[in-house]
Amino acid sequence: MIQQVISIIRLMHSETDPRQISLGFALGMIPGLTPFMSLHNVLVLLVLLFFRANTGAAMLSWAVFSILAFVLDPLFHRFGLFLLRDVGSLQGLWTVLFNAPIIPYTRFNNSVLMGSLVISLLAFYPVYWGGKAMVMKYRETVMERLNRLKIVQVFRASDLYKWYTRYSKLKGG
Amino acid sequence: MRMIRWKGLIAFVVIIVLIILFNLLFLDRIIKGVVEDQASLAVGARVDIADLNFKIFGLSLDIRDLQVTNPDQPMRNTVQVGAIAFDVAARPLLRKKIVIERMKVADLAFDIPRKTSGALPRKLREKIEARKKATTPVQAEKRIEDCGLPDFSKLTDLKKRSAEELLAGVNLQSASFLADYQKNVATTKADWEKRLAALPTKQSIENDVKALQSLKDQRPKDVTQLQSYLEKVNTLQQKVNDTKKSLTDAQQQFQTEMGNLKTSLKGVEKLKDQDVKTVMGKLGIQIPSATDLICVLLGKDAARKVNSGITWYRKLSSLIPPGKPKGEKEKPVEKPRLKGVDIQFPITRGYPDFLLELAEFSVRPGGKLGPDILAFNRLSGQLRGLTTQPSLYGKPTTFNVEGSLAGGVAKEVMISGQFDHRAEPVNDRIDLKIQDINIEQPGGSQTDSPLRLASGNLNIKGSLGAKGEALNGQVSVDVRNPKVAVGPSAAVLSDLFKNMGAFDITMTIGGTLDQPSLAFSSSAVKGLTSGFENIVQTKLKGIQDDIKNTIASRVDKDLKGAAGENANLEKFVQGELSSRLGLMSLSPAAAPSKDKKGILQLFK
Repeated sequence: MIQQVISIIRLMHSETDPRQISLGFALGMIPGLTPFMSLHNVLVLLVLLFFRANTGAAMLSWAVFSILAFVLDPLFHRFGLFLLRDVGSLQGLWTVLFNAPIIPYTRFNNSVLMGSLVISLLAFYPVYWGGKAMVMKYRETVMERLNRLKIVQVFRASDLYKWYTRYSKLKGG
Repeated sequence: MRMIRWKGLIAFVVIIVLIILFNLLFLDRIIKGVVEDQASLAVGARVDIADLNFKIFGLSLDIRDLQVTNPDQPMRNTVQVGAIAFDVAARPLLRKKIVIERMKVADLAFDIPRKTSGALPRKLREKIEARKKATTPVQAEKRIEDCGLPDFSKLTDLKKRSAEELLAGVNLQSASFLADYQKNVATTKADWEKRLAALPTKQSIENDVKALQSLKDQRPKDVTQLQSYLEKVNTLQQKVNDTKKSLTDAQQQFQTEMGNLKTSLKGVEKLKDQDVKTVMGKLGIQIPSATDLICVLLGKDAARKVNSGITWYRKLSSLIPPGKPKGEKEKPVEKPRLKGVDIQFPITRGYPDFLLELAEFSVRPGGKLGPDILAFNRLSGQLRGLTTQPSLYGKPTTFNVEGSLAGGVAKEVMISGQFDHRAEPVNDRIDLKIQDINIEQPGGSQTDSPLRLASGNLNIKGSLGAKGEALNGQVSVDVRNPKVAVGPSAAVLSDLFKNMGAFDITMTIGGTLDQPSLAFSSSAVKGLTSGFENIVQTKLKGIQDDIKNTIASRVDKDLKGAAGENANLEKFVQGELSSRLGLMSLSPAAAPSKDKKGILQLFK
């Protein structure tokens, strides 16, 4: 947990593009909210690795949204049931997908999966946009103030910090 | 910012390749574990697979040495299969449909001892328990427990006890009746004494008769007295007539009452017989029917087989859920919370979710019959159209098996049938024909049944059906050269079964899957009934006679007394009434009539 906190602090303080951080965060939300062992998550992994999204942010987001999903599952179930069973205009689409090749392996006909996937897709852009704005705001305000603190400046000038920086670089951080 | 990360794509490919490699290396083991667990859950007994080989490119699956444990006997396998090969269709698999085009089952063997225990692990056992219905179905075996034999050892014990001892504490109906009867006679006597006192006495009758006679003797002196004379004569005559009528009525009534008393006394003999039966009944000597004997001889084994058959039928039947009409939505499968429910949409094209188009099976060749081993000389069969969505498939599941048991135990075994689950109620049928089964069970039986068919030649033919929950079937068994082993508890029946000839049994199966019922009829019933009655009667005769004599000695004295009291009452009342009526015969002829001829007669 401490490692995760350190990682996110380092990420926020790094020069990583806020869009990469927020994209990683938004992508990590999808496997976090939806059942992990689903075919669509392979696609998420592909997008995460192929596009320049931050994997650290994705991992953090996955962990956070997995906890949230535990609480939200009943809501996902009800919403999924509504979409799968009660929306008449979608029945034709579901029937076609149900009989199409490969698609049945996505388990799209499961109420929790359908509900959580649709909600996570709907939340994708707001999370991405909100994440980007938050990173930028953090760097503009909090990070600036922190950097100006005497104690931080003393710490950064210390041998300990230099050793740590060197060690991190060697480690590949 | 460059958006694409080519290294990431390589990483993705590496991850996917690693996953595929992992599956290729460990897939067989994973599938084996899943198949073993799921099959164990479906069957309710441990299923073991020695080796499993899945070829992803040829889409074939080979299983070697599959063992299905007998749920009731963990050290035996119900079924053992040497090799199973599946050919899976590729195109339906893309649509998540498992279609097995052909399945070959070779080296099939039944009821084989296991080397290690096949008891289920605790985890699976708990899952199976949770799946079981809340209510335990009443089984046929339990319902025919009534056909047990009585405890014949009681017969020997009874001979050691005296009749007085056996009668101790028994309320005899005949004795009670006689006690009541004597009270009844005394009451009747008292009533008639009062009645006789109320009737005209001898003296008054004599006076009336004499008065009438003297009046008739005195003739009127002239015509003027004629009117008053006639009135006197008529009045007196009327009184005499009334007296006579009341006495006659009383006599008739007494005779009726006496008749009733005498008739009821005759009933004492019947009550004595009834007392003997009651005492015998209380001694716990129940005489079973011949149908009970047949039931004990073969019924429990048959019931066990029927129960076992129903259990397996239920398991198989649950794999083929009754279908809804094509296009109609199926109910979603409920899953625990957080796992959601799977909504089923109509299947508009292609195959059902699971379909086994053809399964061919053959028995292990050269099977040798051993102690408690069911081995086949030859056995082969086919199963067609096993599916989880019969309404979509549109054809019933059919099967047929043909073969013979090893060692000439059964020359011909034929089982065929169909499971039609296309619509509710499901309509299933199994036909069975087994020719020339030779039974040889020289040793002790697995059961502690007092009667056991030790050897014989059987022909079995039957048909069993299930429509919805209702069972309907009949199995006929021809038994030739039967030899019945009689256990020590039924040694008294040894002679009855010593030279038993050929007979047949018809077993009718009815009721429901939850409450099956069995009924037996047999050509042996008539012969066994008379033979068995003779045996029991001979054994009971001495005891019965002693009881009868003791009851007679207690009752006959009272019976004699009651008869004497009857006679005394009759003598007394009848004598009194007769003597009074005798006086009436002395009365003169009827009074003269008032017409012209009668009046002239008075003055002659």
